[in-house]
Amino acid sequence: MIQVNNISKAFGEIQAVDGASFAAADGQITGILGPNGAGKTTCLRMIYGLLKPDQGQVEIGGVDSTQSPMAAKRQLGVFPDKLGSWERLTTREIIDYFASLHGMSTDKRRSAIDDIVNELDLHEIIDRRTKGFSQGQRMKVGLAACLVHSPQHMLLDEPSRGLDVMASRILRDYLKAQRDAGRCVVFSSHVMQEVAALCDKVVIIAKGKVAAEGTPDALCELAGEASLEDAFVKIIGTTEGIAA
Amino acid sequence: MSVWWGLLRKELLEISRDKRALLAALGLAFVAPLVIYGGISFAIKQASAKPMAWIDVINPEAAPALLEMLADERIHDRTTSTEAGAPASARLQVEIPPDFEQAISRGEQTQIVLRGELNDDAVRPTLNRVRQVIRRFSASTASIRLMMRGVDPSLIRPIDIEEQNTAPASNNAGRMTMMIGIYVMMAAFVSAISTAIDTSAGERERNVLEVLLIQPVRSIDIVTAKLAGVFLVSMFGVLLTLAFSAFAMSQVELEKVGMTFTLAPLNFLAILAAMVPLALLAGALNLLVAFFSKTFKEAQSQVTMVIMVPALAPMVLMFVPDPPEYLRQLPITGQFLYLEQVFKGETVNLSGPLLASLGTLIITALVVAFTSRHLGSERSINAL
Repeated sequence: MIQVNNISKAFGEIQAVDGASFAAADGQITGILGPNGAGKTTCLRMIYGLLKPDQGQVEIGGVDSTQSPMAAKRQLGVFPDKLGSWERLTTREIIDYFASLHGMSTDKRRSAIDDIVNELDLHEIIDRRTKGFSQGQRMKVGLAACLVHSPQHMLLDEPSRGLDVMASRILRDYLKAQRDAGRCVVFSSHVMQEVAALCDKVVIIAKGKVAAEGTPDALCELAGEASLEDAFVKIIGTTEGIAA
Repeated sequence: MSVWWGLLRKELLEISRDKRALLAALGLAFVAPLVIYGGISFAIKQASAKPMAWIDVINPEAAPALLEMLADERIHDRTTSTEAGAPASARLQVEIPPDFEQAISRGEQTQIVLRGELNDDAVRPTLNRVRQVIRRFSASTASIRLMMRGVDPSLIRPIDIEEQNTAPASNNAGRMTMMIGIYVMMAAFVSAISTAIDTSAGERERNVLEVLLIQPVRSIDIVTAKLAGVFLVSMFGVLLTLAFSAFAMSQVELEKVGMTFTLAPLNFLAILAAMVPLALLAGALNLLVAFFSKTFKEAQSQVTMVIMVPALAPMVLMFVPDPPEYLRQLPITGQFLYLEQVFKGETVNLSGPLLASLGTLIITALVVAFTSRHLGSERSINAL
């Protein structure tokens, strides 16, 4: 479980995150929604320990990430918003590199690579150097690298960007399988249909605060709208009234 | 430790496939021997042969004997000489007074004027040769005058100096062989510039640094693993530069000027060992500057500026004839002076190079610690 307790972060005069609190439970897919500049990436960066909150704390599986960042990171698999590629390495070498960063032994790495290759259908590209890969292929390699160690907690920042229909479907099935296996999946996306179809819970962030949270249906009901997209727009537009 | 090896394995894989960086590392190794062979061969040719020199003589008819003596030394008057290949102008003018011969006959003192841009490097060799001939002519005239007056010329030279050079022929070659030292030191600093930039500023530019910092890896492990990769490239450059340059030097005909050059296998290894701390320092400095840069290009310009300062320090030392002892114990100068002693075949007091190495390693550790601290800082992360 990921527990975010009243975290804030300012960069000079700009208050990027202002007392945000929410929880992402195990066995659930939690979606993070927010307009550009809402503080979503800063919030995620604090959760995965890249930035230290000015106040508040984040617990990953009961471990305070500000107190024990390494222990917290070991429980995380993070797919960040900006993920490039190691063009001189093959897909297998990249995944193996990430597995080794989590201290996995040679045998465990080999077995974990076989598993993720099957789960994300990487057979065709596993032994190819990633130079010249399409955006979708790069995303799949990135996902495989970040999740090869089967983390209990997964943070994915727009993981479906650039994926074609088939690859998106594979990703959705993969995330659902992880949820069903009891893992905690936090997932941000701008594709409302995807969020509505995939997420058990949605957290909407606006102006550095949690504007609303709940199941997609509950948010639609709260906003009095039929679609999650309309509900999102309404919540962002009338943040104070709805958050209250 | 397995995490660190994982980091290093990835670095080595990328380095081995980065043709641009490897070519940059090899560049100096191929250029240095060419320059050494060409440069030293030319210098030896200049020193061992007497190239034909041309001068403009005013009143050449006034001193035929002197002109003959100059011609014997392959120094010719441009206007009167029958030798082929006279240039359109000469850089040195020799003015002989019209009554030169009469003054000599009368036993009087006379004056010859040497005129030109006398501090010009192109004029100086001819100037020195002309001076020597005139001094010889003057001494010979003086001896004749004394003998004609029944005086033994040795009376005016009560002390004769005999110089006995006990330096081995390898020592004579010291200054020339120091070109190898300069190139080897330079190789330690510049061979891995591309590699260091690629693995730091390059990774930042390619958006792969953030995902690395998210992993449960200490920033000190990231920096030291990258440094290990950069260090290996640097030492590879040093090894090739030293081997190729030593081979080139062995092909130069040093014996023509009474010099020899040999680099025994033990000395070869000792030089490599002395370069280890320097290659580490160079890698650490490269990474420090490159990690502070946002793009590959920015890093390239900044690293080149920073790294050239220590890389060029040995060249400054070339102009210090008797360097003070403490320079043997300081980083960079200590290693360079050690190399000089090895090339000259001198007995080395190891305390100097050991202290220099220790100092180099301490500075390297400080640079690594600072880089590691910066990499994990919010300033660095916000720049991602």
